Amino acid sequence: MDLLDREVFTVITALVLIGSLIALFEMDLGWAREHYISISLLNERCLIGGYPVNAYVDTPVKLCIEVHNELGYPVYARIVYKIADNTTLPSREKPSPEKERTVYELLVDNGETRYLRVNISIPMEYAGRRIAIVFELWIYDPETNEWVYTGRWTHLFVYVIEVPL
Amino acid sequence: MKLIKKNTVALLLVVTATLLLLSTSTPLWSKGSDSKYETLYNRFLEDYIRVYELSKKGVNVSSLVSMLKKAHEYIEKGDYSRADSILDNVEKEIDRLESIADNLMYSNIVTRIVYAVLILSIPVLFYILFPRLYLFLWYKTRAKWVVKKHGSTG
Repeated sequence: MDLLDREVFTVITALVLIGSLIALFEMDLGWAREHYISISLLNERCLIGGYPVNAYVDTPVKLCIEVHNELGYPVYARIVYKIADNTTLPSREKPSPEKERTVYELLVDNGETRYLRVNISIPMEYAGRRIAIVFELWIYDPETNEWVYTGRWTHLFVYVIEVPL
Repeated sequence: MKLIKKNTVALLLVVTATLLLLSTSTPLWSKGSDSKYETLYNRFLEDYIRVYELSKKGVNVSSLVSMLKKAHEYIEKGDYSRADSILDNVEKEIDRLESIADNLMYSNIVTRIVYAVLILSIPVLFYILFPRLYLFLWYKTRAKWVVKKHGSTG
């Protein structure tokens, strides 16, 4: 094979060009990255699946929350636990109108995933109802010094059972 | 005597009930009632803002974030003395980094541009230099070759 043959040389040059472009995009130049933050609901062992279907009144429901930050800077995040139903679920624009029951706060570095084990309890008033356990993701905005709803949340529907005495 | 006993029992009940109430209260509830907590929490937030600004300037803040996480953990646990000493160290490090942050930012930008230009120049250099290098090596390896005529009788 003659490396200076026109076709062989073209192929090698094209490979070098593509390799250079890949190397350029792999560099952290700031503009080639998608910035996002995410929240996921996992089971008590911090794995996907095996979520509880029923919850018992005043008995802790063990779950795990995963938060992943790719916003390009460390984030001070707040996870807000609420109890909602079909009509009061959060949306991308607005958080749930239900009251905050527990607030968890954690610092997540850029590119980091953090897991938070939570034990939540469901009060007696929800016995016999199908409810949504909601976790909303808020972040602290250092520019305005305020907590901002990210439009990200996760929820799990459970049927609440009253334990007979 | 009976009256004193009754009062003591009542007092004990009140104390027990108060202790129970305090132990079952949520962390959010206790945040508002503890001034030391509030002071440290506000300090933590101020430090976080400064770390955020440093990271925006391209400074590597991983170690600062790890220290802040520890401080936050101790604040939540109520171990204020440890949290305080960690925040002291964080602030010292932030002060040091802030004084060199602008220089670091410019040197980061220049380094990135230089890297990008170097990577982009590789295909151009390859296109210009590779045929020349190849011909040079081809010539070097065959320089002492002698042309021999086939079928000559001498």
